[in-house]
Amino acid sequence: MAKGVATLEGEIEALHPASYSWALACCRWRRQEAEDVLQAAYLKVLDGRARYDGRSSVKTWLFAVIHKTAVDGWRRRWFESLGLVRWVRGRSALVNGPAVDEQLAGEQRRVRIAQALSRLPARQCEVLDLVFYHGMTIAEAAEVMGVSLGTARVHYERGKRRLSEELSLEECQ
Amino acid sequence: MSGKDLDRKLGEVFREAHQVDAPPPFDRAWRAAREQKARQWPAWIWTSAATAVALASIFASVRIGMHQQRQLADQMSFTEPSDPLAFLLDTPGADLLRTVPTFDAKGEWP
Repeated sequence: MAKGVATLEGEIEALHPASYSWALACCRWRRQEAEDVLQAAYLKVLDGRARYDGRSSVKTWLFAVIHKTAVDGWRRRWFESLGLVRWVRGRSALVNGPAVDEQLAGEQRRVRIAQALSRLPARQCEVLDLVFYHGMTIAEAAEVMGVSLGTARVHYERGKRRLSEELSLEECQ
Repeated sequence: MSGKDLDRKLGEVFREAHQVDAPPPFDRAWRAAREQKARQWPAWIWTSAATAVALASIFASVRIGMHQQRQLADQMSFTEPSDPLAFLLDTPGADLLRTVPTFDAKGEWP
């Protein structure tokens, strides 16, 4: 059953902290980008580009909208980076700007975790975040990410293996 | 490490990664989205503008095509060979041959 924006607003507000955490994971913990993505996702809800049709839970639907908005942002930035100047600027930003947030810098363990997560491919990081932090099933994660269950399962298994390797390597050093 | 232990450990890892998330206030994000929506032009304006541009370009291309055809026809009429003895076939009353004669009730030419 489709719901209006007014009915959804309360549910979206309740989901706001989780939505922000998910937007952060989609943006590799870049805060400003996550806030922009979340606002753009809310705009899609408000202007009717994203409509809840009741086929899944509001959380799964909203997370899918946030994921799609983040992916659109990456695509847009990728097209922008096709320009030479922007490409150079983008490269220097990648080299100089750490993916982890400044607030994490002081806390060594959290930084190590953030670095390990940033080394994971985006999809692996996303599926693990949805399952281990947001408590979704792999099927729900697949729906949010817009991939098949089989693909999500592969990303889940590979991500788990890789992250555990990364973290145990960190701990051994 | 067993599968359950690994899952538990990964759960802790993600909880730790999200510990400092500190989301911005919902009202701020929602209000900003509302304001952005208010600033946006409605979709029907874009749709009608795109339709108008498409129609104008179709109309212009048809007009240009017709103009070119007319120019071509004019050029052809200049280059068309004319028969110097055509006036011999232009006999008086020749238009009568191209029409069906009609008579009134008395059987006379009208």
